[in-house]
Amino acid sequence: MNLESILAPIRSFANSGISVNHFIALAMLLFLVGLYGVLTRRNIVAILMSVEIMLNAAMLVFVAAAAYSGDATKTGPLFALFIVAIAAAEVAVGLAIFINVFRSKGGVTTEDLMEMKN
Amino acid sequence: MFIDYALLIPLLPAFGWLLISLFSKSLGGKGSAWLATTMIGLSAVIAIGLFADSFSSAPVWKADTLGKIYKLEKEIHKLEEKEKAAKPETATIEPGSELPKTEGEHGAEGEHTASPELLALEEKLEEYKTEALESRAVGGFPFTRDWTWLAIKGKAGLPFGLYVDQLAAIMLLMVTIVCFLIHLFSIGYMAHEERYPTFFSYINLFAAAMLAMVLAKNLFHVLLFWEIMGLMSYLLIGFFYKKKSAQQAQKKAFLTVRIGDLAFMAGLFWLYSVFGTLDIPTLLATSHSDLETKLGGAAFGIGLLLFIAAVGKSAQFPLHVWLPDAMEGPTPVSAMIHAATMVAAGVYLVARVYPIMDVGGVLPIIAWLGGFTALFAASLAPAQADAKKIMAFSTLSQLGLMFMGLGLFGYAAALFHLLTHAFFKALLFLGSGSMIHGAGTQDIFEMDNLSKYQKYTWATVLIGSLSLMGFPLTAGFWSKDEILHVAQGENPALYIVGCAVAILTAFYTTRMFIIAFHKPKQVSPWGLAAWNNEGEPSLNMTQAEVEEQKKHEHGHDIGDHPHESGSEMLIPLVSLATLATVMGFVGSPFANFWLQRFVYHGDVPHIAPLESLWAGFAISAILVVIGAGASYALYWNSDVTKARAPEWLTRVLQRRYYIDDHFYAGPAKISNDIQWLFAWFDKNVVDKIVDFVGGLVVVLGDASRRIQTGALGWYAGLTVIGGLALILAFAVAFAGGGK
Repeated sequence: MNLESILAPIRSFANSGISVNHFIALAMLLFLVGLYGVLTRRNIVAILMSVEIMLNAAMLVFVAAAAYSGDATKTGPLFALFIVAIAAAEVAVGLAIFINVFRSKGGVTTEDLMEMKN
Repeated sequence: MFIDYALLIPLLPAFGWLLISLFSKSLGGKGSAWLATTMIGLSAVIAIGLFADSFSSAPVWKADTLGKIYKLEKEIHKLEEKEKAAKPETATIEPGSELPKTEGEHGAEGEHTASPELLALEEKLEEYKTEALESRAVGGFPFTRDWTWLAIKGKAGLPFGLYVDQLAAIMLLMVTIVCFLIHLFSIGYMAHEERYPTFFSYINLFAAAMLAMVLAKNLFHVLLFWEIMGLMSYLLIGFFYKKKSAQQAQKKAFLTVRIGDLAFMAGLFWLYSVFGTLDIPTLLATSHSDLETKLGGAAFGIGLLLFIAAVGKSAQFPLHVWLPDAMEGPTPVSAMIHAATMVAAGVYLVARVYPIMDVGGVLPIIAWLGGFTALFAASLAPAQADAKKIMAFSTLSQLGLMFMGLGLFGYAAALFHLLTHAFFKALLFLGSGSMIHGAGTQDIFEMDNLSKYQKYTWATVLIGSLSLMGFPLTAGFWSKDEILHVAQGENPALYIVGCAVAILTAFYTTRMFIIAFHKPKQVSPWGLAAWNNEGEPSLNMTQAEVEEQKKHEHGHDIGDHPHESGSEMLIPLVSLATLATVMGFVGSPFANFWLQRFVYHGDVPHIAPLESLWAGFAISAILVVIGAGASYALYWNSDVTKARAPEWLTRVLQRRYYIDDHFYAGPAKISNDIQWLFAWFDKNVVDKIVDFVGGLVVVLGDASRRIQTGALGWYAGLTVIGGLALILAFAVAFAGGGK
């Protein structure tokens, strides 16, 4: 599928009175949601999911900025694709680690990983 | 060509030290010993090559033309005297009219007034001088090599360099060969010792420091390696560190030499501030008159300070006290200190900065102090019972002779004596080591008729002793006679001192030889522990302790049957005996005084014509016969333990004229009395500062430790805070600095 065909509807949507600031505000919101999850969740699987949300916020900014600036080199969407690939790899490695943590510690909460209690 | 590898001469033994220190466990005792010996052996090979190079490219004075020069000089001298006597009135008027002129101009003015005949003679003299040099220096002699060191922005701070002239070449040859033989000897001699590899690493670095010092191109580096040598002598004298007396001796040696080192440093700073460089070639290349104007009155002070350094290192009066005590070290160390390294360094330094000594007028002081030390030490030796102590005093005395020679313009004679002395003294020390090893005691009275058991040791020590006495045709004969001859021409009073030293030397050497080799074992009339240590309260040992120590030193009981030493020890002895004999001939009339002609730099060497020497040779031989004969008559056919001198005299001599006691009662006591001050400062200021720094680190560490909780959430929170802080910082920065 052509990249242009993805960006075209966004562009037309943008022309309907929504500016790049709206996208950035949404991305910030998304990012904070993810951050909140990282800081409050005890289960590390949930923490990993929150990290994914933060990555999505970053992707959104990249794509939106590319669309609004009329980016001819398509650098923004390419970054987004890279992030997707990295996130996939991260999940794969992360889950493998969690399985091993579960086997050795009997749980996957942050308390289970704590070994340096004063 | 060998100069390109000259850096290896000190580096190889230094590398040996490093290897042994790091890998002594895997190398093992024998491995370390052979490694050290190989390293110094390779150095010796390079040094021999370097010497051959110097030999072929250095200028040498032609022997026959020198004779003509001497005659001419005498004529000029006579003529000058005559002219001075003829017109004294002009000499008295001149100073008044020339008052504003500088000294140099004054000298030039004086030459212009000389008569035409005198001028003609002087011209002829110059002609002869050019002719007399057999070959001019070729191949860039004296060899130098430079490296930058401590350079700041390309400006050389203290360029490190090598400088090999005649003096350095001969010293290198002597030091490497003697050290190599001492290393070889130690393989067998030290075999019983616990810290066998350590010993070899130490003596390797000791030799390396000496070699580096001889090679150094800059006086600052001379000081540097001089200090390393001081440290190594400290470690080696105290090698048997469990012995109280060894601990005392090492401290005594280090502190006494330190006084000289301080003077050395002061002298160098002064020289640098006046002369602007410490580069040895520059110093040697500066002509006598230039040096005079540049240094001015400072020359005397600088010369004196540098001489004090030599006094400390070469153990001249009054800093001689450390040398006899240095006998506490193992015998090979004594041999090294006395022959090749430590004490030779002082003579080397004086010879190195000879122009300063000459310009500053320090030479008479050197001559008198040397003469005094020679006589002083020689008078102490006959009252000693310890074979090594006798050797120690003889070293003091021989070094005194060398300084006397240097001070009387006998530069070449003194260096010749340094060379021959190194060989025969190393031989004597290793020989006495072999005696001690065989007999199990250091006391010559307790040695049981050693000539029966130790044929080779007997023969080699005999050669060494004859050489030390200056028996005709031995090495010591040629060199000592050369010094006596110089003294005879320059200073009759010191000549008489030299003759007295020669008699005493022959006396005590014969005494030691007879008692140790030809007398059965006896109870020592003095004993090693008696009197000698009275002044040092901590050294008063019971007889049992003394026996225990002797056992520890020699690996077996005193009661053991005397025996000959193994071949590892005999080979160095025989080589040294050969060298000690051969080395004498290079400076003898048979070689036309080759060594003296070779080693002399600067103006014409003063070597006496042969015919005037025969009388000197005859007198020398007679002196030896008197000394040795007296000793023979006194000891050969009688009970050696019988007291021959009044007890007070023996006592005074054994207490070394109470000089050591004065050191204990004076400087040592003062420093003991004020030590509480330094102790207080150390405890309350230095320690407090150190404790504070340590405490601060503990407190800070304890605080920062609490950040590391191990809880993931906590880390994530900190990361967020850090990120926010970063954003804030950027925002502030851009708001302030941006448009």
